[in-house]
Amino acid sequence: MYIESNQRFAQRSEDVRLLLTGFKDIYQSSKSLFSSWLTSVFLYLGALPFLLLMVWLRFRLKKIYPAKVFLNTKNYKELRSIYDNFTMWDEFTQRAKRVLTEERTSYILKFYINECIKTLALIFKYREALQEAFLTLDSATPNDRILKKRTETELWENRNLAYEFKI
Amino acid sequence: MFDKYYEFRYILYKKSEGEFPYLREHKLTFVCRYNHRYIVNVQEFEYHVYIIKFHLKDHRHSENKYNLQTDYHDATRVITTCIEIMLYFYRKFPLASFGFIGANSVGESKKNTKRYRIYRRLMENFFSPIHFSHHYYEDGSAYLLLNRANTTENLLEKIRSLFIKFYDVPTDKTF
Repeated sequence: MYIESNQRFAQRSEDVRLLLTGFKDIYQSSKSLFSSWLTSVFLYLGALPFLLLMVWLRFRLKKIYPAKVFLNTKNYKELRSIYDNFTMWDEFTQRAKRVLTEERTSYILKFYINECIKTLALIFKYREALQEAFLTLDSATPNDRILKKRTETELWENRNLAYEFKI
Repeated sequence: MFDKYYEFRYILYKKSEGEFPYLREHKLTFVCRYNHRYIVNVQEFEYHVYIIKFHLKDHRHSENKYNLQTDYHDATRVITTCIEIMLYFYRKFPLASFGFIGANSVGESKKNTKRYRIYRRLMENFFSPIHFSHHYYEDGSAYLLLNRANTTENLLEKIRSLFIKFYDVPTDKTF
């Protein structure tokens, strides 16, 4: 009995997060190593490859994430864990949007952040599809004043992740 | 924990006799590692509702057979076996809904009993909300797994009236 490391999506999300935060680190360290002017040159030079990378990433994500999610016993646990992992993206997006609104943010940096937000929008779209699928479970559950229903969220939050569903 | 269970055996079923409300009572049995035999009674009601009860065979003549504790410290395996029996019935009857009451131990109140709290936790862990919707009645320590595949109209209300008839579940009027 152990917690399975079957969350391939979690790993993918983590990779994308590392990629995006890695860019931020490169930007900050190059600014401290070189002058701001030289960093801007690097950023302008990197804009096209970055754009291509993001376009490719969005293309991949569109293929990976279906527009509609169908739940079954086999995928439920994995998809629910994926859904829980999405919360880390909320914080990232909020921070990115905050940087975008700052006046001192350069045009080229805004371009990079915008591209990241566009990519994240796809992830959020998938989250909405997941949310809708989970809500469907609740809406399909009849309620009664005596035999009260338990919501999907309540059941999920109370369970021990170490156990596998038997059905 | 809760991954090992005992091999069980289906013995027989008997049809309801007069005062008993269920359609049939299925009897299953298994022997634990301390060589004690358990009896599992699965009462089949209308609308494919199955109520699971179990007791130690040695307690079969006791009025409190469902309330007594064995003190063999083997509850996890015994309960897991009952869950396997539920799955056995589900495979046999795909429209089956399951219910149980966490019986109170001697001297314990019937409300939110210790058994109920354990069973409820197990239902969360082993029965996903994909095939079953989960319902509870805490004051009577009752739990119901309602099969989503069963499209009988107002099924929950019908099951509630079964619970009202045969278990200590109050009617709407008392609320």
